Amino acid sequence: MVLHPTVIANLLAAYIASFMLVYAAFYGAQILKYWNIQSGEELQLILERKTYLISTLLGYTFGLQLLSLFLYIFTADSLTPLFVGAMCAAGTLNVSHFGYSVLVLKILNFILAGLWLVLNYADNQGYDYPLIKKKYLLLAIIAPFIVIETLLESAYFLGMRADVITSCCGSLFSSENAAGLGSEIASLPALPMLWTFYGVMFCTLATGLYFYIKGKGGYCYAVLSLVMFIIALVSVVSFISLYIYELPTHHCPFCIIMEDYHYIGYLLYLLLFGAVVSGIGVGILLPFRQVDSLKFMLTGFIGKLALSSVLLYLAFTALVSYQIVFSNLIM
Amino acid sequence: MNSWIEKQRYIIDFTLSSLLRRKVKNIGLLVLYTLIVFILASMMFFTHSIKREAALILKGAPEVVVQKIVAGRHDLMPIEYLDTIKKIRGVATAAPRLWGYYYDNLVKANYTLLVPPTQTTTTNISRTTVVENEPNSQSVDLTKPLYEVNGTKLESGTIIIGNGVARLRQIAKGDYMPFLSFDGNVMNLKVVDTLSAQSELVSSDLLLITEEDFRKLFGIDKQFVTDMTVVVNNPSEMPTVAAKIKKRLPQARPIIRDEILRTYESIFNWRGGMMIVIFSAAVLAFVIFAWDKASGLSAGERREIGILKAVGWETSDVIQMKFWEGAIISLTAFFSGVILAYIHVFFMGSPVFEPALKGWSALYPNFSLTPFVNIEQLTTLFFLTVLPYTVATIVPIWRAATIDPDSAMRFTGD
Amino acid sequence: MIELHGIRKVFNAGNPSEFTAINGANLQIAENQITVLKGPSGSGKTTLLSIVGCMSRPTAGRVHLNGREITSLPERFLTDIRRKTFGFIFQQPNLIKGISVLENVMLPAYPLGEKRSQLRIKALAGLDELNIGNKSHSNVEWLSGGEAQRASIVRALINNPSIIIADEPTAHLDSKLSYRFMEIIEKFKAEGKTVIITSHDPLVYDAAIVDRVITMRDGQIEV
Ligand SMILES: Nc1ncnc2c1ncn2[C@@H]1O[C@H](COP(=O)(O)OP(=O)(O)OP(=O)(O)O)[C@@H](O)[C@H]1O
Ligand SMILES: [Mg+2]
Repeated sequence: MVLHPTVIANLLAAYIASFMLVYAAFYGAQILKYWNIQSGEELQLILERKTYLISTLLGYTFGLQLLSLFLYIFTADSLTPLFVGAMCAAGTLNVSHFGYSVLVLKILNFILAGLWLVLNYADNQGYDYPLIKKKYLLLAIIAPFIVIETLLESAYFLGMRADVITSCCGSLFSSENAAGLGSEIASLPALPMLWTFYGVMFCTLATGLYFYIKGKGGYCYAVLSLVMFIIALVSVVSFISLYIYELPTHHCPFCIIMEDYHYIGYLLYLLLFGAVVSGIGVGILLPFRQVDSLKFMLTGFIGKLALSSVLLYLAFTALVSYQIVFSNLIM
Repeated sequence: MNSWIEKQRYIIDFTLSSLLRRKVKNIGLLVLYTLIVFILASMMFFTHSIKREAALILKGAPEVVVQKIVAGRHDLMPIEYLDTIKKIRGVATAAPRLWGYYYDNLVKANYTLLVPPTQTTTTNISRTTVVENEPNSQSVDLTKPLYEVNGTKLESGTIIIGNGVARLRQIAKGDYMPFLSFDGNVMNLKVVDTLSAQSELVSSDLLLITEEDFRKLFGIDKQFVTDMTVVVNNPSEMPTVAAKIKKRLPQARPIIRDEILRTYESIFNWRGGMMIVIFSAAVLAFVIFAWDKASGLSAGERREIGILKAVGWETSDVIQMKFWEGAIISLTAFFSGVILAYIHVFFMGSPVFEPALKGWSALYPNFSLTPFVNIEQLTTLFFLTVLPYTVATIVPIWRAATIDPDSAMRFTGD
Repeated sequence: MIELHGIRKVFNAGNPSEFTAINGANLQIAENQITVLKGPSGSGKTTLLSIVGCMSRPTAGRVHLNGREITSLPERFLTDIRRKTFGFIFQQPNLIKGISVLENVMLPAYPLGEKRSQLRIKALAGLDELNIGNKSHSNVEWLSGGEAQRASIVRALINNPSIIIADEPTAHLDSKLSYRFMEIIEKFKAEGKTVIITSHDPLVYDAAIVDRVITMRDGQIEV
């Protein structure tokens, strides 16, 4: 293993997140089992109190998940000197199979935790805990993912072996064991990808606005916002990064969060994450519009979610376009 | 939205005033918290910038060094090797080096004796190298040799010494320094200069000596050198060239600079990590302390929360209040700890753990580190300190926040 | 209009220390009246009051407030109803030490996020009305018993509740202050508020302005 302060911080964060979620899921299961809104028994009062604990835990996990996503990339970046052939985070993540799986899981879990909070918010608006069962079912789904993420992350960090000089003939052991950025995404042709990005983005924004104004096509928007999210991530690798780095071959999605590029990546990713969570949130909440206790507020809340998702995507597009237009790179 | 902001403002105001009302209790926590952050931050700043310093210095070191290994032990190298190496395709130049360690019985320290190369051109050929993350050119100029001498010429019978040596032996320019040569004779060499303080990490224990004197001191024959430096035309060919050297000269061991760099990284990371592991006991103790503080609400505090809930605050309002309380304490402790550590490491030379972290011999360098802090370090620090504190307080906070509102009806007396 | 149907409140259910504080109480409290709950110590007056005031939930039974069933509402909603509908006056003034009288009075309004300037005006007006406007910036520790209670009354009124709940408000007051308190209560009634008081004090339950006296014994309401 590589005993690096940042690695320790990563593992600590992962274990804490897992612990919090398993703890929350444990009480969530109790709630699923014993919940009886009609009862005034002490057990019910205790369970109702536990809901506060669980929301607090999930809120923290959500924040932690976001922070640890960036910390993870930072760590990968700062470990690059340890690996022959690794130039930035991308290379380090390639050191073992787990590297990218953890990253994907981190993003997934962030989105899931965000959706849980959306569901929780809606549930809190109803006077009879209308979504309580769904909410804790979702929690029961999230918990294993976080645990898997933690296990993989441990495997990734603990399994790392730095290529250091051995006591024998050092240079001969410097194998090119970490491939550079040779992923398929990077090799996607930039220009067609650019058009795809703008095309799908246009559809997404249009659907979102249509839903916001007319109240129709919500599910469609939810799906599109997820698709858009993936396309946007692919686009970052495929062409957005090129314009930011102003290099025709540098595809790294990670260097953009570094100092050299004015931390522009944070803004890009935050906009994207916000957009996808609120976008999918629309789809998650739509089936509950007819629930009695939620009728009055839910439509408004879903509208707000859709609007903020659209605005965030719009801001993302604007930022990307700005980067493209003012880039010195011509393609 | 407006009322939400207004509400948070009210809650923060109230939190601040309630923190100030319980100064004594909170100052204890704050001091301990700051101390923890301070120690961790100092450690991280220190290892990080020393690592950086070392990397910058090594950037100026030769790309490939070839040693001779006999029976697994480093041995003197015949000068004929030089021609063999020079003939390898891809090698731009190669130069012999003469250097060795000398143990000084008087002060019980090891010096590094080095014969400066006669023509500096062999070691530093200017050419463009593409380096990822090119460091700011502030610290070390690549074209300068490591051991910068202020124009003094080294003649037979003279030496130039590093600052560490000068400090340790308490000698200066003009003094004589005795050496015990391989055959038991005493050589008195005159100190003609000391090395600049620029790169003291490397040059602190360094002594520059003429080739003639070096051979006399160590008894090394004319046809031997310590090792050789190699410059290759194309940096990406380095491993291939190294492999070729290895093939032509089976007894040679080529060492690539980047590997030294990597080893350095690992060692310092490992040291930093080790310190954190050791230190985690302290963090754990602090977390338990924080847990205890947060769950052991005084009667006064319970009463206050009871009153708040009775007059119409909701459980989540109280949780928010406690969240702000934790945030205020954490951020205060975090930033004071970081700022103090910054001053400690970069302006005061980290008196607290220099010895532990540098792990050098008696001759350890005395240089000031270039201030260097990045977001990654701060995030790591945040995760290692604020995160445990925050998590440790969640359950106690929730307990406190769920005090029954009707408890206010049962308070008696003051 | 508050209606209670078959209210039971059991403490520490399942434990050896299980205790039924209220056992099947049925009650209707009319609007714009002064109702006094009296009865021996431990008979469950405070417990019943806290259920009426949405501070705690009954173990069984139903509470209707203005026709709305509130028993099974989540705490969030109960709190929201409570802070907008009820004002509480306790046996102890229950002011928070170390902050000024004005801040204490404004506390119940904080979670509502009202504009600070407006809230201040409202609080100062309330303090003036009870003749403690000049104390608004003093620390609560310096207040006399009567002043502290009046401050707590202003606090109970800050969100303009329609129902005032007072638990043994005169227990710590001398008779002069108790009369003063009853005058304030009379004013509430004149403003159209509903008042529910528990008291052992004849000065309270024998007062002319009281519309109805309810006696409790062993967790039940005597008829
Ligand atoms: N949280 C609790 N846990 C256990 N028992 C309780 C609790 N709260 C109240 N009780 C019990 O319930 C009974 C009724 O209490 P309550 O305070 O309602 O009486 P009361 O009529 O207000 O008395 P007093 O006139 O002395 O104020 C008491 O015996 C008390 O000990
Ligand atoms: Mg009582």
